[in-house]
Amino acid sequence: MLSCRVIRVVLLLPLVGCADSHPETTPNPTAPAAVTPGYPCREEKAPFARLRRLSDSEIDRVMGTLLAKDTPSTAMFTRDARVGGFDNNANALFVSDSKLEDYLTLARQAAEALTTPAQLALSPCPPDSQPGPCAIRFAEALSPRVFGRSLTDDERQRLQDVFQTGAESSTFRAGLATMLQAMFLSPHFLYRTELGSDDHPGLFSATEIASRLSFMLTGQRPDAELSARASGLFDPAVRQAEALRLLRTEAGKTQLRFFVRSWLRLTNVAMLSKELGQHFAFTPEVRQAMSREIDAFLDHVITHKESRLDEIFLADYGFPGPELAETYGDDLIKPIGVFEQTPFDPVRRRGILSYPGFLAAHAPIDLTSPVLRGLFVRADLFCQDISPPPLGVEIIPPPPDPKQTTRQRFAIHAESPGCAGCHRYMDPIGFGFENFDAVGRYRTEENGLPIDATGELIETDVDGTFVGPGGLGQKLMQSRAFARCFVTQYVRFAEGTAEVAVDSCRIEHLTNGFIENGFRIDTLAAAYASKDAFTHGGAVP
Amino acid sequence: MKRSTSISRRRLISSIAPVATLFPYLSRAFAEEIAPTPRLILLMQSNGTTQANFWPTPVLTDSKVLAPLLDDANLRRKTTVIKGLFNEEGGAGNGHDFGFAGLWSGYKTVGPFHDPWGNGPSIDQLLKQKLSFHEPNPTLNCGVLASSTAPFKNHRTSFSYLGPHRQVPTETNIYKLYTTYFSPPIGEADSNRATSAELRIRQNRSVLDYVREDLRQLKPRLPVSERPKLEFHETAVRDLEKRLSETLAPRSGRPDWCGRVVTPKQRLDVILEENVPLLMQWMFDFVAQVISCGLVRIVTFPMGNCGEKWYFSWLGINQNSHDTLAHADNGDNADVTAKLLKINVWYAQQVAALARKLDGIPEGNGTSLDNTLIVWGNEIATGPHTMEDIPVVLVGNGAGRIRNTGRLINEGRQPYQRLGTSVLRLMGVPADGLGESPNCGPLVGLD
Repeated sequence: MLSCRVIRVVLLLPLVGCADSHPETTPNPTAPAAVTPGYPCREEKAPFARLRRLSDSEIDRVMGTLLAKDTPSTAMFTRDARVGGFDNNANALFVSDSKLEDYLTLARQAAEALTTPAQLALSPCPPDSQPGPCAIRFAEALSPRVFGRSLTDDERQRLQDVFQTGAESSTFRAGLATMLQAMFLSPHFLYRTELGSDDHPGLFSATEIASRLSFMLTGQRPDAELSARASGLFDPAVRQAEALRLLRTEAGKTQLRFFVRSWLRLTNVAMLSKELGQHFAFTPEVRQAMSREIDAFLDHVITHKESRLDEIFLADYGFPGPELAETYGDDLIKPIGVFEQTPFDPVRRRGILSYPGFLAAHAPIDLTSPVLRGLFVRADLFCQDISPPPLGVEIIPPPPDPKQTTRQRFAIHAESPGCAGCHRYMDPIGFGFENFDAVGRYRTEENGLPIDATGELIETDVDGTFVGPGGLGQKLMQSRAFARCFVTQYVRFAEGTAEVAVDSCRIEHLTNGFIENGFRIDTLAAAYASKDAFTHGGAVP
Repeated sequence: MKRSTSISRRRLISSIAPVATLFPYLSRAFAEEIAPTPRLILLMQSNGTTQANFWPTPVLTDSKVLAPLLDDANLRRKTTVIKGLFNEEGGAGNGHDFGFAGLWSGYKTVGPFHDPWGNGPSIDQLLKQKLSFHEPNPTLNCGVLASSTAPFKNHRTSFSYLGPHRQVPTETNIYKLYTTYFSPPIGEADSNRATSAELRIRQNRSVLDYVREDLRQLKPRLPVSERPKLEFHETAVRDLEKRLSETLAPRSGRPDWCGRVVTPKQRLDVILEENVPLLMQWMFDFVAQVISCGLVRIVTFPMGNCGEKWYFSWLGINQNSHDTLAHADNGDNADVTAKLLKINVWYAQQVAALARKLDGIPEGNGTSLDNTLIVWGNEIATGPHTMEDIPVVLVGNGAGRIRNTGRLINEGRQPYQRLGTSVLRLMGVPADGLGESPNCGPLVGLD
């Protein structure tokens, strides 16, 4: 017989493990880990001495700073590993053969786009200037956005050589394009380094701190203002102020949205497929509208609601577009607009967990899966791990049955001792979403039978029943474990590593501040940037 | 059943000699008088098979699943079926993940249950590090992942790994592949006027020299633990340079048809599931072409995502093949078994088609297939995640390195890492084991 238990040890993730029935003492999950007030957590430092390859989304952002239109993008790239949902994992990202091919294509497109006559007219060379020095002027102008710094003398010389080879037997423009290809294929473009300086061992350099701040908060290289203040960034107050400034920029808002979408596994909503037969046409327009609604909502929360996490989970309104009329049915109190704020029927929907895009993204192609929805909550919202099914067990899930509700079908998991050990951590949470089908439509019946959308949390600090995503949202906002998990996810994203212990001192401190400040994500980000750990590097894990 | 398909070194060299004269590195490689090295294609199928219909007799008859391959006497002669492989390593995720990321690396998956990744290099990448290559592309990871239920976590999209979490992405865009491998696109976008091939080569070299110098300067500043990233990058740059020179050079040295290879004209959406049959056909055409034209030596190829849920509408099935069929394969349901048989026969047809394409290309005194080893593996043994008797089929004898083909190897239970160990050895890399089983030895019975 199998059973599961919560093992709260100092692991990267608390583990909800399945094991033979030898129950161990379970610490009270509601008790916060012991933290000495004011303890600075100096032993926990940012991963140090790393080479971080830019993620595809970062490349796109950087390209956006170079070209306002005809911007080359990574849309056709082969896809990198997204560890823990985040696309910027420093350990996972590297340059494979196919990636280099992609970079070559991108470099050519960027070189082409940056050397059109219109572009060249923007930065004309002085009359009578020599082609070589003129080309270098061009490179120098781009360098802060491409490399995040000025060119070195050595680079100037070598780029000029590349230019000469490109222009030889050809045109000035061909030389320029060849030189730009070299810049866009350079490791100084494709990576950012966090190596520290010899003068201050264990401390990131001013340029590196600017880069860390900028990529964390805007996904791109430092803007001119930040670069100008780089030398002051050793001062926590300056970092905090710069962080708040960056968070208010368009790039800052985009990045925060991107983080939330990555964390909630919502980056693929516009690409989802569904197969509900003739009952519902899940057209590209519908899924794109679902995606756009999420962006509109997050934009609203970030801009008008102090980027508060409780607003994301408890908002009693959506931002539906006309394509979602059928999806929403009678769930809205006012007529549907064009991605405008529209109040929900509060009995039916509340918070992002009740948005059609979320519900569709967390469901298989045709039916709902309480297991998948429950696992998502357990793993990504509470940062708990479930141990895998035991080896040798045949996995035969309950088949679809036109005479039962989903809840009834999955009851077998609770009845079978072999399944119940782990499924009790997932299925009961997922049942709370059963009022919504695989495309996020509200329903009260399934196969002619009434739906019971009571969910239940166990082994958390907010155990008990809830009804619907709104009910779950309320539970979450009362949970310190959820807040701590959120902070952990943010730090994982900020540092590009999955190796952040959810119960570490640093996370506890940030969580305290996050809760005290009313769940403001922007404040959390700025607080994180102001910590000593942000400038002091520790060994690479 | 014995057949010696090893071609003489002289014949092999003469068959590619014109290529060698064009490309100095080819000449060098072959001047070393090395034995012919087989090409390798690693295929991964998902969801196991219908065990009752899979296993043939010792002389490879009477398998319903493998009929498309074994009913062809010529292919049967070149085929080896391996029974008895098991995987009891476990790891993160579930059985699909254990096998998908483990079969060709020998490592348990790593990470939490819901986010499992490969934890060590797969053999394609090991071979890339250990062998010397005359092909401009040592390895290629491509496949067909079009799916209406694409996994929303992308650990299930590639089984090629450089190390923990370092997944080599799978190229699924057939048009991009053709453009990269079979057309000379360099320079066109660079300037308004056409530049000569020679100038383009000089420009490319100048760009890559610049990149190499940057990498050279950066490397000593990194701690030892981070240097492998730049080493992979350096290798990729070196391979890219070979590719660029290759693409730009005249084509007369290769088999004539290599110069006439064209991209499929019909435009297909490479993420739409309904296009899977055609994409599979085109991808295998492409694989046969790049292998036989000496552009790539090792191909890794996922035939669908890990735990693929294809509805197989092209077979008239229209059911979620993972959730509804594979997982219901308890042996008692005739309808399920019949559908799974149909699905698995379809996979066998694809493999047979690839083998036939290669076998139709003359090479030395044999065919391209004779110098190739296709390994058709599976992440699990059956749909409900069982891991005993994982179905594995070898087609081709790898330039004569497998002497006894045309038979079933059935030497009792063997850890799955032995398969990878044997493949490494067949490819010329000494190995006593694979991944977390460094001493498991090679497959018993494969000789």
